[in-house]
Amino acid sequence: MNLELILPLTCYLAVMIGLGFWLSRRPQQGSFVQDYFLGNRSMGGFVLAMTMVATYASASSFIGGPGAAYRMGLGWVLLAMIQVPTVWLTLGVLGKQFAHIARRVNALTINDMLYARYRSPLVVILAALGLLAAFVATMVVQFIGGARLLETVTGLPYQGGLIIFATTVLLYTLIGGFRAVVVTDAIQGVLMLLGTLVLLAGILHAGGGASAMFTALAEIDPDLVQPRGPDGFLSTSFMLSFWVLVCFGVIGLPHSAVRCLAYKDSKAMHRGIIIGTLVGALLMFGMHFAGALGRVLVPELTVPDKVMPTLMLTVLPPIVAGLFLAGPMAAIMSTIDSQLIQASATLVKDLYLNYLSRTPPSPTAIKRASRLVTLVLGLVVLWAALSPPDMIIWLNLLAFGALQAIFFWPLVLGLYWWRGNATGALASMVTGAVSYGLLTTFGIKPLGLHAIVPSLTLSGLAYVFGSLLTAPPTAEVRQLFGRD
Amino acid sequence: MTNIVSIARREATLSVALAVLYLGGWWLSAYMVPPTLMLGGWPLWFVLSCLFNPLLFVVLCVLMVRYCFKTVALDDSEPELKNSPDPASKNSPRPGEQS
Repeated sequence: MNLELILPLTCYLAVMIGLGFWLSRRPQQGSFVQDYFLGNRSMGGFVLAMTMVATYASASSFIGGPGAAYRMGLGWVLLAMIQVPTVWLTLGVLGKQFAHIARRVNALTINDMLYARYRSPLVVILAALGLLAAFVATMVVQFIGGARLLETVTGLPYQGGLIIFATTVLLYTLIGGFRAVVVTDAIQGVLMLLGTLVLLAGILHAGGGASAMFTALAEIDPDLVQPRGPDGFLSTSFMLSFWVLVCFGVIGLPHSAVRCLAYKDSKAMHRGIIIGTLVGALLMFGMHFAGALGRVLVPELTVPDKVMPTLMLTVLPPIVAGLFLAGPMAAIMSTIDSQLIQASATLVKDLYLNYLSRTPPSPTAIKRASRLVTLVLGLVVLWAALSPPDMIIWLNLLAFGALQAIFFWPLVLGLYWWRGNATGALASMVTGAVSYGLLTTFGIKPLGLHAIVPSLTLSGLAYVFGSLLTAPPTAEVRQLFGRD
Repeated sequence: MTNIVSIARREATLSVALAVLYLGGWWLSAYMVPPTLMLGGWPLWFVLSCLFNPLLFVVLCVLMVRYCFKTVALDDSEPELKNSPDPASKNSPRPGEQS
């Protein structure tokens, strides 16, 4: 055990819990549900930007990403730079239209939006089930990632690390709700950025400058400084698939889309786009570049996923390393918390309040139920992470793409094509989920493309044909979307 | 009402167009530059595609938001009617811009 490392980490976790408490004591402005699940639509530009970036930079980009860059070299940095447009794309495409309609129909969740647009309980129930399955799967993986990180760095046993980690996230999410989630996200975003920049500076210093390190990389394997990577692994179709998976497809990810419901005004959105794009670009570049250069400093890693923690311990003094290890922790925590809050919102708001309760329950009952559901969901995930099933990694890969395959067209075409209707949305969701599931399960890769590309194409076609073959939406819906 | 819809539509198109442009720049700088060229010890393709291109597009993104995106009141269903007494929409800014 390394006390110099554990101390700053513990402080960091304690501060996060403290923030949850402090934020929950602020006077409530709207109803409890609106406040707990949406922070009363009060997000400013900076917080919006940070929460988008932090949610997005999950364990995969802080641990898996640099690990892949370690193996693939600079080509993987090129791949990471595909993500630069995501913030302006998501906020720009969904942005105003989404926020405006959400306010008119008082929507709190993605499913509220879907209901307002399609007027079909079946769409909402399908969407809710898809969301829950995908979120639970990804949360389990994030928990495992966090605990493994603690294990590597501090020498705590896996179970112990997992419980400390899970308790922290659960506590502040439970107490503070959405507001705590976005505020901690903002802090975690800043920490990630600082941690990445300091680490990159440390690496460049330890390696004797960038050009010396490029020469050393080329000596290990000349392909490490080529855009196509070792053995041409980063082929054209591979890269193109990533353009869909991590750039354009992200518009359809429900946990970043829900942030479009929560910002204060259009000025906040504009600032959010600018800050988010800048911070995101710096973060993606820094993390992956650090991973790629790490190959020179620590060439003999057997588990590439450990490259970030190992590098921090190698190039930074322990106390600083401890503080900035909070960076990857932060990335993981901020992804879990936002999924946790959204999964509970789905259960309480979309399924329970809309379909299961005959009489509207009292506010206190809703309050209790919301927290209870958050807690139970958290515990289920924790239980699954304690003895991780082998299926989990597979599930995680599935979840990211599956969410896109299900939600992309119903969200995007629902906003911008007045003719789309419930049949189209249903057809699209089912087609997306089924084709994505089948293609990934059987490992079919048409033209070498990742399963997301054919399944998005199919689900888009299903949406268009399903809508055109059935009656157009009612006048009420059309008017809501600016069509008379 | 139709107003905010057309504004949103325009901004969505702009965002997608900028992303497509970025894809173009990314492709050209990464694959059209001979991979052996160096610039001060850095591989030239890397400098162009991972440093210069993203920075350029962050600047373009700022310009796009500053000059093409419009500030609108989100919770006001009819933003054109400025004189309707609505103190709730705190930031209903510069209504002249919306016509």
